[in-house]
Amino acid sequence: MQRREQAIGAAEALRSRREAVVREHMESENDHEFDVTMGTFDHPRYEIVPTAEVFDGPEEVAEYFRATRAAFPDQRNENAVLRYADDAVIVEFDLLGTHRGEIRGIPGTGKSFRCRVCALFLFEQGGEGIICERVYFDQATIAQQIFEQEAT
Amino acid sequence: MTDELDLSRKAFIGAGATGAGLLGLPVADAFAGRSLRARRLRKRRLAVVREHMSSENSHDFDVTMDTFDHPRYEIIPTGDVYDGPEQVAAYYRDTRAAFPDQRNEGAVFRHADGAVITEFHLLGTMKGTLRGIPPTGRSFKVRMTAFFVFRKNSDGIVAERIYFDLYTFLQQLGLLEAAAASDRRFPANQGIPIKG
Repeated sequence: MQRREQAIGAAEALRSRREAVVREHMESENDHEFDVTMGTFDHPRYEIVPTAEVFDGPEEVAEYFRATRAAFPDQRNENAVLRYADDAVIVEFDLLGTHRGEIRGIPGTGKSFRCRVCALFLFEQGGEGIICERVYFDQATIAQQIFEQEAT
Repeated sequence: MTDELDLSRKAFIGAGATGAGLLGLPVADAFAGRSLRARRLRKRRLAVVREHMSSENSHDFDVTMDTFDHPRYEIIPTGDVYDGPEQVAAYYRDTRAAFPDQRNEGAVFRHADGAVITEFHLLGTMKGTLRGIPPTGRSFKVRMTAFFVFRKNSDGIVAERIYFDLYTFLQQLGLLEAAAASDRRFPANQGIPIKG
């Protein structure tokens, strides 16, 4: 029984350390402290499900930070809700940004978007460093807000 | 715009908790909760979610409906909410009229305190009208995540909340331009761009 209680205590401690890592990840993205964000990974990796893009390793992830913030310099997250699974912290949040730089050949429109997003921050068994952030969202919701002409 | 992510690490990422964990206990035991009751609750919730998803595949929608304590779908990309038995029944009727073979495959399940979270492929072939748009006969396969939300200590679903990329879905069906041109506005209350 004592062994079981120790295991539960260890699991709770791991959960709270993972929470701190995920919150640091998301806050450092908001502050553009991408070296801090990078440090929250054991292995830097993004999987962007809508576009089927994978950015794997420090170079690709650094380029992903650079390119997204060139297009949306104020890109940020708000209103995060966290859930905890055995191998993941699962977060729903609002992603916001203003389209200032070129993306997919379309120059900045100056328009802003807000989109509800789900991200799975994955961990190795017992690990405290993120090994993958997998993101689900709707491109149409964002494109409509930043590209579509106002009705006349 | 395919679902074919390079998930080379998927084998262990998606496998769930198995094998030895902290202090030599199986991880599922270490993480599953504070008591046998909590572990049993997780087991029942997983069975309910599996029944929900398999009955959708076999079109046994009365069974699907019974997996809810309160029938409710929240479709994040469109902002649509179907609440209560009548609206949820209409949602089943309308989606299966458009996609008679709509089905899920390849589900991965995770447990959190108030939810079972799944990732799966949704597939279907457009055979009927969708929001006034005539069928193209084309098929879609889109990776999604769904949150099956539960009340505390309950194994009845109170909401299924779904995240997916509507753009990929419309593109595979050949509907981007039709959706943009539709005076029915698709999705409801919004519009779909054809750029981007």
